[in-house]
Amino acid sequence: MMHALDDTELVRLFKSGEQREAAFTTIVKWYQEKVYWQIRRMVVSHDDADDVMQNVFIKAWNGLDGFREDAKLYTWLFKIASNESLTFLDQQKRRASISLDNVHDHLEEKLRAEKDFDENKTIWKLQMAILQLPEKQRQVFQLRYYEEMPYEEMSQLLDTSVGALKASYHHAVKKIEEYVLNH
Amino acid sequence: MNSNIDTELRELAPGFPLDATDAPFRTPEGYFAQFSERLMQKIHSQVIDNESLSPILAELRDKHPFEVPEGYFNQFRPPINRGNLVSMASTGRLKTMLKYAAAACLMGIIITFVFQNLKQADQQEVAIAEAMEPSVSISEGAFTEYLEEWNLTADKEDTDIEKTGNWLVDINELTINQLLSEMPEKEIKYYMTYAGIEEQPALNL
Repeated sequence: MMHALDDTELVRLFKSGEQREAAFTTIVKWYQEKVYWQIRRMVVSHDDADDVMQNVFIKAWNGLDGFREDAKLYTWLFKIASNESLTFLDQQKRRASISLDNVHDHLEEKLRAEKDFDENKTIWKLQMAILQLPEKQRQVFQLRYYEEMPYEEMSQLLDTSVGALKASYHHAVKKIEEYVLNH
Repeated sequence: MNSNIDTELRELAPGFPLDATDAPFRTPEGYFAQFSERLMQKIHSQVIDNESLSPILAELRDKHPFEVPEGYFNQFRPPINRGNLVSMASTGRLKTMLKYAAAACLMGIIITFVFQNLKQADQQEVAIAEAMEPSVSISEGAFTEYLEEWNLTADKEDTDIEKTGNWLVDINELTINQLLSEMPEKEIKYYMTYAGIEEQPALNL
């Protein structure tokens, strides 16, 4: 990550209270796009992604004083984003009484509502295929495929062993390939 | 795309659409440029909300009077060992066994309750029977004497009945003759004809 060297300094500035707000604004500007896309691919619609991203950074603001720097700052932010995305999807299921079988349909509806959606284009087929995956498998696939995150780092982020993550990614890729070839 | 991930994908799934790596989603124009500003406004409004609701509580939010031994969190290790893991893994089985044990205890209590009730009922019957028994004891001699006396009386009564020839009517020949003499002969004959009784010399009045 290009800001890895500066993260420590930003966190120090934040914690010291000298330039708390400026330091945090810089952190937000550096990581907002990565965090946003991680969330957006999970919740699909922009409005939902915006809500979740605000929650993520509010939690970061409230929790940064306690950040112990065992992990990299962006891994910590990704972890908050991952938890918030899953919590958001759970809340949606409960609110709309969506059964597990209908979760994919619900997200597919949102995908079809996207402005440029065209189910004949491979780029949209891929998104449809990703939505067929179970939520946690979807996260693993997206972190590896889009974020190009090393398995070791992902292991730290998702509290899962490297072996399990590799297996999960392997299954996800096979399922997506099969979907794209058959649709 | 990173060449390692590209190679990994080719090995895992040769049919995977490698040309579709970019997400097709759009964001509103200027969204990222304005996001941090919007976010900070929201954070400020939350801080102001807390302060206006209760300035004291807002100030004390991150303070507490409790003390932790120095280096506690660095030294803290959750007390997990293999034994604990095994017992956690078998928690489901333990729960099932506890359910069966609870059911067995319940059955035991019910059976004991029913058994106790039956036993009490038996005891009550015995107590009633005992209560109905005469409290005064009768000697064998007195009982035999009573029976003999009772038999004698009974024999005497039987003899009296035999003498009269009828249990219900104690009537003698004189009384019969008197009754018949008072009855008109016409009615006697009518009765004998109706009852199919032939005239007998003994009753020839």
